[in-house]
Amino acid sequence: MGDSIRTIERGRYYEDFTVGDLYRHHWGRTLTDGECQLFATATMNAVPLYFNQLHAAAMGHARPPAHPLFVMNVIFGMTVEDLSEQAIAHLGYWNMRFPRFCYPGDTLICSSEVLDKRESGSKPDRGIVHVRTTGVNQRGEEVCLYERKILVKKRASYGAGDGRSAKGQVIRQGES
Amino acid sequence: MITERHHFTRDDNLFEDFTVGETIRHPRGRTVSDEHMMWTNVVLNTAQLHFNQKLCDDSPATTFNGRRVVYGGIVFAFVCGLASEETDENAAAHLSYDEGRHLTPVFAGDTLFAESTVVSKTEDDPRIATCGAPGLQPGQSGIVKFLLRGKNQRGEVVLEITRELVILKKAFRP
Repeated sequence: MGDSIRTIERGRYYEDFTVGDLYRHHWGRTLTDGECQLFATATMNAVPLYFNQLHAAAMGHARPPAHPLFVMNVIFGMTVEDLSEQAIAHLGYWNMRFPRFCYPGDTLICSSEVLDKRESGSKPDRGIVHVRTTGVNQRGEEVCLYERKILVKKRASYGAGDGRSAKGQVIRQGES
Repeated sequence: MITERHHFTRDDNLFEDFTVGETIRHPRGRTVSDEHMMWTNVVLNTAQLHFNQKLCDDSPATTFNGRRVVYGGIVFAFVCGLASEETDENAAAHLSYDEGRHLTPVFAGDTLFAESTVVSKTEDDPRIATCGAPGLQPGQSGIVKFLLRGKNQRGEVVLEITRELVILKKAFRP
């Protein structure tokens, strides 16, 4: 009926990050048997722990666990809307750990803290944001932690919207 | 009928088999196709520069000159996959990854290869006891630290990352 158009833009620009911010990534995701095994095999991860019930049992697991890099990728994916949908590049990973195995049926939930940010030394239209992401299971136990650095656009150079849709769930606001 | 104990892993990639300083050149390469977009979507990575060609066409300055770049987490997983049979087939746990850098962008059509350099080995590390591997007893494993490098068809390093794996000793291969 109406003729108004609401254009949605997702993702934070450099200016939208404040050191100390803690974001809750809202989706959450339950792992299934099929996708766990498919990820291991499709990435040529020829390790029977992830696709052979008899071998997993011999290694002390009731069932084949999810491959750690599948767990990391599922968590990473859930963080993108809040952290890197407006990124120019994902630069790398630091301090990645997997304190517990995950299994099909587990539900992953994650949050990220902004550790640091700085403007690019060479290009004024971008900056680097340093974050720490923590993934937990349905019992709140940590299953995957890592830091990453993201090269992200500045709103001043590229921003189209007013930033309303970038906010997401902020658990704790850092001090500017 | 299985008449003897069937081992599901090789017997040449256990803790004792790794020599510090040695670089393992993994045997297989892998050409990346547009499949990378499916994996990006499967893990709900919503960064459009991986899967929206119109956005790339419209913003060459903030994409890789208008080319859809492969999501790094999938490059990481593909490179680890290429290295897996020689490094983690007999691993009980992935302890850490660190100092990881994506150094060269990867695009559909590129072919990935992997190399692992053995950086260090240790049998005495309290982190083995808390690595999360069920049923792992003291003395059955050790930590091997690798520098994993992914390269493209031109030999350029696309990904570099260190990884520590808890690897079983020969006597405890299941």
